[in-house]
Amino acid sequence: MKIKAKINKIHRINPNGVLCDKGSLDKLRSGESVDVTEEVANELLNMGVIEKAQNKKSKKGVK
Amino acid sequence: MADTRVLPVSSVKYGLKAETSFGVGLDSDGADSIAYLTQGVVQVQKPTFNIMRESRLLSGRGTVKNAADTVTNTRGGTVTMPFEMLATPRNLAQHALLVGQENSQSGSILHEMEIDGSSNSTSIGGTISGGLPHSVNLAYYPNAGEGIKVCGVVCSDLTISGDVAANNGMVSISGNYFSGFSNPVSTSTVLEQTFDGTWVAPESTYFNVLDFDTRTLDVEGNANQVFIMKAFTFNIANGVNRVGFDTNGNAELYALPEYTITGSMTIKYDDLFDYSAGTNVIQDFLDGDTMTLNLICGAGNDAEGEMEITAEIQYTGDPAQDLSENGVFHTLEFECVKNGNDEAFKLEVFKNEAITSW
Repeated sequence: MKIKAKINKIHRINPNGVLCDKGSLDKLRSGESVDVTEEVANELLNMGVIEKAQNKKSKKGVK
Repeated sequence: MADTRVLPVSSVKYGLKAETSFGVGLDSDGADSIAYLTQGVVQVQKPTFNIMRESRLLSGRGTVKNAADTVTNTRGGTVTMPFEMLATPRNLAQHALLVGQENSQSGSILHEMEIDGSSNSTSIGGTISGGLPHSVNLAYYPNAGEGIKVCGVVCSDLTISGDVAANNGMVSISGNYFSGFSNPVSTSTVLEQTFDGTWVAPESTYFNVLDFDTRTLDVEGNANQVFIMKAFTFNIANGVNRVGFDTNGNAELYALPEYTITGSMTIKYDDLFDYSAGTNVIQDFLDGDTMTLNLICGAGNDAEGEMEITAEIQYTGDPAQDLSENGVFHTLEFECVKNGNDEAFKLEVFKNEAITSW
């Protein structure tokens, strides 16, 4: 699942206390979207510190 | 030869699990396999059994008490245990519930505990429905076969405090557990117990004083003035007493006759909180004013690590001074009171778990 952080909330997360790996957490903190497993995403979603990232719509065929 | 075994302090743990029946062990059949919620304390204190013991020097026994003349009675006593730990979303919400005996949930999931003179339980002992009233099994566990399970546990008092200069600014909770189940029987409080369930690890999200983005207090009729805070503390006590005796001599119910909330705050002396006309904190004390206090940790209340305290306060003493290198601060001692429709104290904590899962 693709997720992105709520920037004003993600700083409270202790990296040692969540399933999310450190690299992904760093990216989330810097505002990037990351692709993580359902389990990892659900934990962070329940904690209220991330939201599902919207996939950009393909512009294929539009000129 | 003496035994060489050492029990490190950190090897002892304790956990809580909500009861579905007041004062009854959740698993009383052999080893207790309940998945207790481990509490994140540094040093676990032992439960203390406060029972009745009387030794008399009877006539004809000479000049010293005789072993046969001692009476002990485990019925009708209490069990207490102190605790102190960093506040986390679950333990803060649960301990607030254990002392306040009130909870409402909204969204996903904001726990609210308010003390308003009418919503809080005045007794515990009847049916438990949806985790309310809230009492827990407490498991104190040094080793297999050495555990103590205490049933019918609530909090008699709870202190919530935060200080920028203590614990890295992290908010902590402390207080005392209370139980009226002092007579060990297999279905309730029991000694020499093995707990072999998979205990749930403590949480790792904390509340930090430095995250309190909203800090407002009324001063002399000026509503919601922003203050700079160094420290705060709230103490909630419910005056719990055990009442009655069941067939085992354990409590039939607990009475909660009066909820009292006191506290103190250290805030900076500045143009909004000083000794001048219109912003005089001393005048607020002299006039017996009631002020609204609002503290919000985080931007809102929709993520772990966020909470909100709303209270109606009256100063209980002349605002003292805290003299430091940062200048003069006020140390405001207060108690919380119900003011019209406003509750004396309200605590909101985000934790996306229903209380029935605790």
